[in-house]
Amino acid sequence: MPGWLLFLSGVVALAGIYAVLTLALNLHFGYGGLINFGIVAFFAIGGYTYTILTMPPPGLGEAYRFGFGFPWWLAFPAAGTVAAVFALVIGLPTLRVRGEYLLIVTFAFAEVVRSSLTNEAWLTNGARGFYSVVQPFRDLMDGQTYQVFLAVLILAVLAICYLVARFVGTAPFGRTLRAVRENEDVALSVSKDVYSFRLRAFVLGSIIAGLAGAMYVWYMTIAVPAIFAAEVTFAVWIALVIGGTGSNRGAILGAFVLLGAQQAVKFIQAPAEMAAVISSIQLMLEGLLLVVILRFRPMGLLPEQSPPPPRERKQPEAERLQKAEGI
Amino acid sequence: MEFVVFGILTGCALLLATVGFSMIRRIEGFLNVAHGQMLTVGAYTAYVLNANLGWNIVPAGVGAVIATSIIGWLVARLIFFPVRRAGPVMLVITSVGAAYIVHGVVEAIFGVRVKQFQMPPMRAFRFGDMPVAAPDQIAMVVVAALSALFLHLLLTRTETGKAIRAMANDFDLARIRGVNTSRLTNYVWLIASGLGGLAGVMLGLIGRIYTDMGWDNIMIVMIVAILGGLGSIYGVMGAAIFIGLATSLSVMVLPAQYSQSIAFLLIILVLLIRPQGIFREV
Repeated sequence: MPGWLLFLSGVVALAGIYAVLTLALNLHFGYGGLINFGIVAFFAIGGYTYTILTMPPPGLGEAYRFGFGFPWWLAFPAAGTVAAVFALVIGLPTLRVRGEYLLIVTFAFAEVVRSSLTNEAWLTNGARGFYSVVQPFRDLMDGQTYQVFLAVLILAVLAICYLVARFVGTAPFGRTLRAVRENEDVALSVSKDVYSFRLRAFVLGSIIAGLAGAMYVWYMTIAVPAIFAAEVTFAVWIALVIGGTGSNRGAILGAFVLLGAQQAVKFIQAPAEMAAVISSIQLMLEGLLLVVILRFRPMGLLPEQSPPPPRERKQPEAERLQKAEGI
Repeated sequence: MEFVVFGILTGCALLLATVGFSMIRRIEGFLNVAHGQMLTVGAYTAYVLNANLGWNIVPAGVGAVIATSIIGWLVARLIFFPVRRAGPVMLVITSVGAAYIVHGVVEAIFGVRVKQFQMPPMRAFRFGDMPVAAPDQIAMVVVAALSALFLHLLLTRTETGKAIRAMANDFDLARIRGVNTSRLTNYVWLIASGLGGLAGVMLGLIGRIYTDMGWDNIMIVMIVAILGGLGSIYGVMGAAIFIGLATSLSVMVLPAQYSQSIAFLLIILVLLIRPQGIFREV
C-alpha cells in the first residue's frame, strides 16, 4: 500500500470526524443560535462512554473499576445517548436565559468535564487513560488496509449525519428553529415553544457530537484527557466560521479546509527543539485565519441559503374563490 | 487562616481582571475572551522588566500595566474594531482567535517553562503566634483596593467617567448628546487592559507565571462576571472576593481539583434562582 494513500486516509478520517462535529455545532449555533463554547465536552463524553463500555474488565494495578467489554455496535449508539443525557441536564436550566449565559456555562462545563476525566480515575483511569480501544471490524483485515477502511467508514457516518442535518434543516423543525434564532418574539407570537425548540436542537446536536467522539477514539485508538482539550472547541468554531454558519455543506467544507491546512503545517521541516514553538505558531495561524475570514468574508466560504419554501399543497386562494363563484 | 489570606488575594486579582472584562462587556457589548491574555501579557512584561532587566518589582509592575494597556488597545484597534459591524457573536469568536494569537506570540517568545519573579524573601507579620500575611501580600490588597477606589472615583466624580457611564447605558443617546464615544472607547480599552495586566502581575506574585494563565483564568473571570450580574461593575467587585474566598476555602472540605466544579455549580444555581445576577445593575 503506497504511503501517500495511508497519509491521505489519516487526514480524511480526522477531517471527517471534525466535519461531523462541525455539523453538530452548526445545528446548535447555525440553526439554533445557541452559542456552545464547550462542544468538546460532549465530544469527550461520547468518546469516553464508548471506551468504557468496550474496555475489558480492569486487570491488576489498573485504576479504573468498570470495563464492560461490550461490542462496538452497542457502545456506539450509547455514546450518543449519554451525550444526550448530559445535554439535557445542562440545557434544562440554561436555555431559558439568553445567549451569553449559555456560552459561559458550556465553556465552564467543558472545563469541568476535562478536569473530571483527569481526576476521577475510578471511571476514566485518570491522566493515563485507555489504550488499544476496540475498533469496529478490526479483525477482518490487516493494519494498513484498516486505515483506509476506517476513513471510508467515517466518511459514511459523515454522509448519514449530513443527510440527517439537511433533513432537520429543511423540515418544519429546522425552519422554526431559524425563526427562533432570527426573532424570538415573532416565533413566540405564533405560539412556538421557543424553549422546547432550543432544547431539542441542543440535545440533537450533542448526540451527533457524542457519536463523533466515539469515532475519534476509533481513530486515535487511545482515550486520554489531553486529546479532548479546549482547542478542539475552537478548531470546530473556526471550521464553522470558515465554511459559513448555518450551512451544512459549509460546515463540512470548513472542517476539511482547516484540517488540511493543519496537516500542511506538519510538512514544514523544523528541528525537534522547535516543536513547541511550531505548535504555538500553528494555533496562532488558526487565530489569524479566523480573524482574516471574519474581516473579509464574514459569511464564510459557502454562506447560508434559505431553504426553498414548502411546496404549495392547496390551490392559490384566488383561484379557488374564482371557481367557487363560478367565474 | 492562610486559606483566607490566599482567598482574599485571589479575589483581589479576580476583581481587577473582571472589572476590566465587565467594562468592555458594557461598552462594546461582547464577552472578550482575549481579556484573559492581558493577564499573561502583564505577568510576562513584568517578568522581563523584573528578572531580565533587574528592576524592582514595583516599577516593573507599573511598567507592565502601562505596556499591557497599550497592547490591549492595539489588539482592539487592529482586530476588534474592524469586525464590530459583524455583531457581538462574531466578536466573541474573533476574541478567541485574538486570544490564540496573543498566546501564541507569548509562547513563541518565552517558551512553555514556568517562571517566577525575583523577590527578596519576606517575613510574615505575626498576630500573637500566628503568621497572618507578608508585607507584599498586604501591599497587593492595598493596591487592589486603591485601584477599585480610583475606578469608582473616576466613574462617579469626573466628566470622563460620567460620560463612560452614559455610554454604557445608551451608546447612541450619549453620542447624540455630544459624548466623544470613539475617544472614550479607547480610554475604556486602555483602562480595562491595564487592570488586566495588573491582575496578571498579582497572580504571578501569588503563584507562578506560565503561558496558560490567561486561559486558566478567563473562565473564572466569566463566572465572576455572571455572578456579579453581567456588566455591573460594582457587582463584580463583591462577586470576585466571594468567588476567591469560596474556591480557596472549599479546599479545606474538598480536594483542590474540585474548586472549579464548585464555581460551575454556583453559576448553575445563580442561573436558576437569579439570572440577572446577585447584585443590582448600577
